Amino acid sequence: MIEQQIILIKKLLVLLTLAVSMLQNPAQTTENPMQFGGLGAVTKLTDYKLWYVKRYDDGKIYEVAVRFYEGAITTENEDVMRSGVSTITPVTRYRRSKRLTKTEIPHIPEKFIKETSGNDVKIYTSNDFGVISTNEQLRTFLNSELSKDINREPIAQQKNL
Amino acid sequence: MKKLFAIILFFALAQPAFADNITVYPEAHLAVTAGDGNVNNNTTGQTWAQKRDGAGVGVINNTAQMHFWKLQDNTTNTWQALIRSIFNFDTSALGAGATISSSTLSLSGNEKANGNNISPSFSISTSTPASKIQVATGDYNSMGNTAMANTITYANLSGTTYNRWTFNAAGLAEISKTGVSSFTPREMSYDAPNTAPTWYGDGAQAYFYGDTADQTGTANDPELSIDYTAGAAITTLSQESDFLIFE
Repeated sequence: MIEQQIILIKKLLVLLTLAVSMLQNPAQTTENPMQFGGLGAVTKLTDYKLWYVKRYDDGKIYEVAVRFYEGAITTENEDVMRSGVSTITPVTRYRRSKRLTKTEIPHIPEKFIKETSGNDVKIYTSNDFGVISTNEQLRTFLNSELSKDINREPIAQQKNL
Repeated sequence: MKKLFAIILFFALAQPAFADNITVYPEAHLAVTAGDGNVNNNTTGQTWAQKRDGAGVGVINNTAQMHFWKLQDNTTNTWQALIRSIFNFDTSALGAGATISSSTLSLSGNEKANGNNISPSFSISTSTPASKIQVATGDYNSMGNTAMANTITYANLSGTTYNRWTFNAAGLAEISKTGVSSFTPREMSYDAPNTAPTWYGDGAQAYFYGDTADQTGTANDPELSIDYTAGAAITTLSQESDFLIFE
């Protein structure tokens, strides 16, 4: 009887913790919050942006510098152009809230370099992605890198189908 | 004999100078090196001179899309808003020894309009923002007036896909090999030459609107593509004792 009460109390505590977490982080929801961990689970989103892409004269990519971010889908006012009219309108979309350092993305192996700002930038070479030429091939590779993050979910636009 | 050997070895090891390409992108929101954004002079009832040469009063640097340029008419012979934009590219990965042979700046358009019947045209010019990290109101008058690339007429301006400008020699010279390069899509029919447009009607506007570096994904980002020859890997050849040293 006592054991059952303890289990019940534990369950209530877990639910209470999840509820408080959701109230404290209302913006950090994924497109499908049920996907990771079920009811109430909160998963941060992640994406990447390119600093530069280097190609040989035959078009083959040999070096890429990538920045990784963390963010969430939020609603904020933006100056939006619709049908020729510029208006301040609430826009719901993915917004970056944090630039990730290399210690925050341990699933991404070396090599990183420092920008002039001191921030970490991941360098990929053809040793990592093989022989590729197109931006689509590069995105497929980088999407697969992004999917290795166990703490964050890639944004929908950077998931390999 | 050693000199002959050194010459043969040098030519055997020296790489032929093929032109590589680097495509550089501005930083998204949270930029710490090279961001993008626009700056506006949105003030009611200004003359053309006040509008063009006045002060910036607002900026946008964290939206996925923005006006690259806009001019909106106000009451008779006055103007409401003029918007200009700045794109910063960290081109330091070129390296000081690089030789640039050609370059293209591309901006993805979403919409264009010619409601005040002025048919704006656009080239690329330099910008000298106070900070290349984030655009500020003080950057409104930091735009150069010289065309650094071809000019795209309003008729040829795309409001749905990438618009590409090919740099001329002056434009190539403005690309930094060791730091950040700043450019603006400059309106070349009225704004750059300081030619007052004919007033059309209150609220009428012409604009060029498109994607910024803050856009989700990487398929529509502003981009600066540069063809270049890297600095020589073998910079000097010297001789010490009986050994040839490559430095």
